[in-house]
Amino acid sequence: MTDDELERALFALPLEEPPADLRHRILGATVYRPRMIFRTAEVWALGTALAVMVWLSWYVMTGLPNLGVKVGFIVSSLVAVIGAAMPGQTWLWLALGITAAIWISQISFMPARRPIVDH
Amino acid sequence: MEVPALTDDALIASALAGSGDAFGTLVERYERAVYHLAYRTLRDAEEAKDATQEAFMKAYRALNTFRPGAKFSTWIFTIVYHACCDRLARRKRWSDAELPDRADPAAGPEALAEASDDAHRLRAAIEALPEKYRTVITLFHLQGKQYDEIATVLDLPMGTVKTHLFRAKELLRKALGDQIAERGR
Repeated sequence: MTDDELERALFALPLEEPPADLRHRILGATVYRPRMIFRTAEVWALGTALAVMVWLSWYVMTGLPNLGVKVGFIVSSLVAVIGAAMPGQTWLWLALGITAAIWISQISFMPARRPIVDH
Repeated sequence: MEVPALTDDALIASALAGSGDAFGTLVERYERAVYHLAYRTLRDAEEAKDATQEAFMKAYRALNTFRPGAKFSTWIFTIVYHACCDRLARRKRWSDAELPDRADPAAGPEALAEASDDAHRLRAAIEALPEKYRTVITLFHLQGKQYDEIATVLDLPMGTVKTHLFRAKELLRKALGDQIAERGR
């Protein structure tokens, strides 16, 4: 058998027939795969937040007799962490901002509703 | 008038823009060749099916890393070949039954003798080749005389590819010649 004859025979050889469901399986795993509602980073953030909440709940529940101390500790820890990240004047502006926001939210800019009078 | 088929590059661009149909066309175009390579390398229909699916999934996820102008066939063959190598390595780790460089004991002279027509005999002779020659001859069958593409898929120097191919053809000729001689007796 010459080289040419062998090559001709090779190229004439039909390819293996793939299983009938292969294409459906591929497409099902790629283009038709349901999209994730959350992105990976969001899943991580949500998971972390949930874990912190669970830990906080457990921490508070297990310390019911000293609940006030525990809550005080958590609040002071949060304040300390935020305080370390922000200079003193920021607190003042933040407090002013929050106060202003509360006051503004109480003001109604809508005209007073007139009573409906039947003639 | 026949509508010209879209090129692979155009299909990839559409798939990247969100067209599922474009990727479906790519799957339709290459599914058979990719499965053929996986089947020839692994010699197991179920594993070849899984390797083919895995290769297309990897390609779909990494489509944005595909270099425009490169050949999609070479890229997908490289992915499936790596998937097959992983499976062969895993198989080798768990059992001594299959070693990559060893001929298939099931496809020995008896199997060759049983094969009736020329295509069957040739297929059986390819099956009986050691793994490295079997893969190179399968890629030669799929990609033609594009030695550089074969070298890219196998991550081998072009010289090695040519040597493997020469040796594979020699073994095939010998196997087929032996059978013709046996039939002549």
